[in-house]
Amino acid sequence: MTIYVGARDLSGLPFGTHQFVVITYSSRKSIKIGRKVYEAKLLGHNVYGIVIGAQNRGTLKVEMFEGADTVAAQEHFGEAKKTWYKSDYDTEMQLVKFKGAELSLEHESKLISLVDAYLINQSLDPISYPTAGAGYNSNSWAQSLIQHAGGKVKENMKGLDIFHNRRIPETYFTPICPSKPRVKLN
Amino acid sequence: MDVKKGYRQSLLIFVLGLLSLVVADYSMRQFTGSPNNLGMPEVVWFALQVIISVVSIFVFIKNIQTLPISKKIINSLLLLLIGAVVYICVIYGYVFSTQIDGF
Repeated sequence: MTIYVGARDLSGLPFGTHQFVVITYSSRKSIKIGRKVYEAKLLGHNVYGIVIGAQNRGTLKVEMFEGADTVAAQEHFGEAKKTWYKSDYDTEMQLVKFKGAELSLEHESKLISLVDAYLINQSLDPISYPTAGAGYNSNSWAQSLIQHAGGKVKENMKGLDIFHNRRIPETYFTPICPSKPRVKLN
Repeated sequence: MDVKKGYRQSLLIFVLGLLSLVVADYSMRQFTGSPNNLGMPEVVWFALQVIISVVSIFVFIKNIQTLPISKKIINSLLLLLIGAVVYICVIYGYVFSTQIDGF
């Protein structure tokens, strides 16, 4: 079991990079995230994974197995073949380290609980998607998730992954209503 | 020779060309039922953009043929700048506003 932060090209644009998170396993596995149970999809030879990313849906909305993120992950791990005449995402994957190690069950459950909480908060207290992505965006989200889970990963991926250095406050990843209203982002 | 006419014709070709491309791509995405996946194949999508740009520049150059070289260069650079702004507005605006993708 390992966690990666992926970076892929934006569909239809010459410049722009979108980051997302992939949890990989060596066998098929199901995980409960939010109210749903997700089965890990085949990403490559003996690599199964859960693909999680924040998307431009008017708000910064977290989706599991979003189409482009999933194809990009499959492209990297080998399940989706690249050909010159088909579009591709030029995916980069960076391994997340937790105190120098790849991953433990404790870190995995911490990461999932952060996503769980974000899923609740995104319907009750959504973050607006910034105009033209210039603000807290998917890059900020992926990096914030990893940091709040205690992991370390390369932040500045290939291409134009703007605002990867911004951090969404941890209150958006906690399952409790804060005593003070959350800081409004974007 | 009319510089203004050159700008007008050239930008019209560029804008209409890009908008036609956007309509075709959006229709393909709607037709396939997966608006967030890759639409028109990348090679075709970007090749058509290059062709539209080349035609647009060709029309412009034809219209400023008799200008002195220094004015030709200045006007061409201005056209490229306007073209870049138009490109960002049309293509990036399309992808972000229809929520096809985003940073």
